[in-house]
Amino acid sequence: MRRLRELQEAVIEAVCGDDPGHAASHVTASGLEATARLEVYRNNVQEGFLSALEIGFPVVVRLGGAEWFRQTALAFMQVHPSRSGDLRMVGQQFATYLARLLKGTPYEYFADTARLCWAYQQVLDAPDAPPLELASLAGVAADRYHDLVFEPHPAARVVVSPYPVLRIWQANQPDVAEPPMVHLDAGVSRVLVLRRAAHVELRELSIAEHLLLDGFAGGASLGELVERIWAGHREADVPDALATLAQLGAFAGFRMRNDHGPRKGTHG
Amino acid sequence: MPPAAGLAGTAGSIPARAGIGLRAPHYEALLRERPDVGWLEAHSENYFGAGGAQLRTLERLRIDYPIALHGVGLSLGSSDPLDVAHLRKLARLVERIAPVFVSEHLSWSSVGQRHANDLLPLHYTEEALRHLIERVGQVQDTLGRRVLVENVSSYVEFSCSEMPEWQFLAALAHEADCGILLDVNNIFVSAHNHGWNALQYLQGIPASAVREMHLAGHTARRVGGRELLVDTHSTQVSEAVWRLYEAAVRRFPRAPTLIEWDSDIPPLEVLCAQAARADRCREASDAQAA
Repeated sequence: MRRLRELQEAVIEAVCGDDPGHAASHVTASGLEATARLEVYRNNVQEGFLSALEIGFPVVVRLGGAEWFRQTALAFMQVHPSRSGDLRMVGQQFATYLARLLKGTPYEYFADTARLCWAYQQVLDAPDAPPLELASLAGVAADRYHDLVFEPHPAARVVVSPYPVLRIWQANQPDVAEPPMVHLDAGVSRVLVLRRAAHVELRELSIAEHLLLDGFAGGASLGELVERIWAGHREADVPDALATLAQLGAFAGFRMRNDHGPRKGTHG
Repeated sequence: MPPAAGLAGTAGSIPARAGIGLRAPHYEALLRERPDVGWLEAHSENYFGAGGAQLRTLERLRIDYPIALHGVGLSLGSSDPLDVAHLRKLARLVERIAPVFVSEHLSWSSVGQRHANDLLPLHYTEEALRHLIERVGQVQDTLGRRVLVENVSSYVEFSCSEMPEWQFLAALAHEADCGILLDVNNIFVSAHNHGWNALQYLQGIPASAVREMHLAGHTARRVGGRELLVDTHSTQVSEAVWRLYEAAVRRFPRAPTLIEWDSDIPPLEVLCAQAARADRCREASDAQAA
């Protein structure tokens, strides 16, 4: 298989790298230079990568404009080429790349907007699970509530940003002809991205809602989180935050601290 | 090779009528209108997720239409080890959807962890043939069914090739015991780009191995002062390809046809009209043969 390997390494360098020379020496020219023939694939690779990023980050395209996005995407591709047979994965490092690229510029918020786009993509095909029904807590004795550990829904993600990324997202949807002015100093945004049935919804979380969801994801119990939240935010209405998250469908189950398996959906 | 849950088991379950490629912009219209097309073909990788609306849509549509799964990311011909994680996801999807056909490409797209995400052509040597036979065997063993392998459009040929593409494909089908998905547009595009004889290509493919055919649109581009055809799937099937298809239908009368369209996707009616034209072409060929 030595010849197959050598030829494939030469061709991948020609279409994804910088040196078409070695591969060209193996190509039959037939009326057209070998490098021009290889260029068709090189172009396909670039356009496929670019198209995947455009589909995954439409709000960033709209913020930066098509030409800026194209140039940025091609530069990103040089640093983070595709590492998967699934093109949808090419954007995994895009938000981090933008954060470094735009640090200290007036466009830093593009990076957090990209994180929101990536969270949206992840949620789209995350596992299905019925949301937790509060009735399933009926079997838990009140004196053990502090040991409850709620399991975040597998199709839920939270994006936190110093910029109002949810308003930026909403103002830059395809059906918004004239985006309203969004003030970048409007304060911290904590966005829940949650798939309910077939639709993905985005919603601003209160600080208590965010700390609960984040804490449960880290394995903390309700009792621990109540103490933690009230230590820093005496005004926080934790019971209301918990009820809101449950009603939204942000939990898929619960377990008691020190128990092993989670309890799912509608049974206690 | 396990008993064929694939080809033999499904020969009667997919109509000879033409189908269309399943693409997200048509989900709503398909669910609402349930157009009269023979079957649907989905890109396997688009449904590799664990859940969500895409997968649910596919499961709803499979109630009304036979579904085929068509992979674009397995990199079947790569000299890298087969991507076991990718194959596992495909196996999970095949089990869930129970498709009438599972197909992959006679190509490779990655080597040494570098992914082109494009269908790159092989050189047609005995060495590459042995490699492909082994790889197809691995895939079929994992899936527990036969797969179809599709010829791709190409823009380069390698000077070290020892046989024409059709001979390579025929030998692969025979020795790996797989089926052939014959893309008539790809034959036309490659024949134009390399000076092959497209009719000779059709004659070189064993009729019994062809289980499915594809039709799609291509685009002409000026490259280096010469016209190259590029397999863009962005327009209607060209008249020249329809003429080649007439010959293909005469040679492979039982292989169902699929209309593919992947960019600049038009309204669903346009695809359905192309499928209807393929049906008329087949009916005319059947009438002539009778």
